[in-house]
Amino acid sequence: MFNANALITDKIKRLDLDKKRVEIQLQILQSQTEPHFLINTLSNVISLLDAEPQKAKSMLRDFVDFLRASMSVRRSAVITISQEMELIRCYLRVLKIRMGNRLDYVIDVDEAVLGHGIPPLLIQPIVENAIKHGLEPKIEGGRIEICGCRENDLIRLEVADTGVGIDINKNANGTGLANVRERLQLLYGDRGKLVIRENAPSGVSAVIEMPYEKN
Amino acid sequence: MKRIRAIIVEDEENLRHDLRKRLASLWPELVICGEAEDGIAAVNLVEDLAPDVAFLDIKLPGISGIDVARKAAGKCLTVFITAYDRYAVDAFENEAVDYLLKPIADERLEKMIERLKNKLSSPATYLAEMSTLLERIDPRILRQPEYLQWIRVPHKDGIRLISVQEIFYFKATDKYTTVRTKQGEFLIRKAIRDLVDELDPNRFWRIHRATIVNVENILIVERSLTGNYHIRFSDIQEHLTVSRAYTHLFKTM
Repeated sequence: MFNANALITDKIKRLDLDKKRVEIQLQILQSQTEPHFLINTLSNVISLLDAEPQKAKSMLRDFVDFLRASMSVRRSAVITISQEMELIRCYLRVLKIRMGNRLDYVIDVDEAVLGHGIPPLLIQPIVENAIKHGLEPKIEGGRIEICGCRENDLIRLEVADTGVGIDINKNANGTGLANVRERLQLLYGDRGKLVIRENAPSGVSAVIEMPYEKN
Repeated sequence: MKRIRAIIVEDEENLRHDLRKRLASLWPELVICGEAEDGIAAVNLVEDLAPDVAFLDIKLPGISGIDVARKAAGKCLTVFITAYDRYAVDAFENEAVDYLLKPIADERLEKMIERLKNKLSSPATYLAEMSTLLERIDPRILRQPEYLQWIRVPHKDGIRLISVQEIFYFKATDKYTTVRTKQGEFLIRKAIRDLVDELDPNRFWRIHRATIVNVENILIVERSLTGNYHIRFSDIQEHLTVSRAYTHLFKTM
């Protein structure tokens, strides 16, 4: 029997999905490295130039490494987990110079998943969030742990911080994380997940799950 | 002649030292009597040291530079230091209150010092301007109505945080409330009547004594032959019926 309602509902769903796909592609193309990060880093370099020129040079080199890594991942539709981790490493190296002992970090990803394909900038925005909303507002700073492993037919990637945690009345981290979740769902359907949890004793744990594909 | 005393509040050590050095060379009579790395230490410094001037970064751990300035209002002159923050900069431009943009250019710092020296000879008017400005920034940046953006859900693997954007609806179930997202159903203790007060009323509508729906996730609202409104969502099978008491919300559609 002809069901007009079902047809309309279906059509709305498909248009919605198409619209989402286009929006997300546009976002990646247009996305720039966070301006505050650029400005704060360069301000720091300027302030070091006279007093500690070696440190200034070192910071600039790390910053260039970051920009290079950033450009390279943005160019492709698919990169390896190893490439994303390299970008995150460069990012945290620069931040470490600025935050000193207010930032402690560790990146620990299993060999087994380093070569696996992922879309670019899936994890780096989560790390940015952890710094911006988690560690920077915390007076004593804290620690970020990024780890990745394979669990049967899934890949599990986690970004955990010991920052101030999520303020349930503010949507500070919301949009970036929502974007990651949407992209995971578009690519992997129900098998692409992002779960946010409270970390102990404080902070946030963000876990991404995606299917492991032998290639 | 009494020497002018200032504090510097900036969480990045390099920038703090740099500013201190440059002030020492451009304004040698200025005494930097204290430095702080976070908003709370800054407030204490103002209390304890009673400086004439405070150089405040806006983005600070603890409380923001703007909050520090509010607490210090009337106690000392403040100069904000900010990276490119268009909103704050505009506010300052309009009110001609002092700010320094990172990285701080030499000429800008020199001008700032001149301005400060002038204001220090007649602080009363400046302090009045500051209080007005801070009141005007406050409601716009800081006092936005605060609605629940995340729901804390106890789970076997820890306490999960679910963004309200992911939620389709809340439904009362016995003594608990069920939260429905694409990932499934979760139970929380908060009652529907409390949620109604805490959620943004523009995004969350009560459609039944026991149900609140996230209108942004509604796919379609259908009217049946009996006049009942049914709400359908993408991605999940469930549909909700709007009770008679709330059909007026949908009548204009």
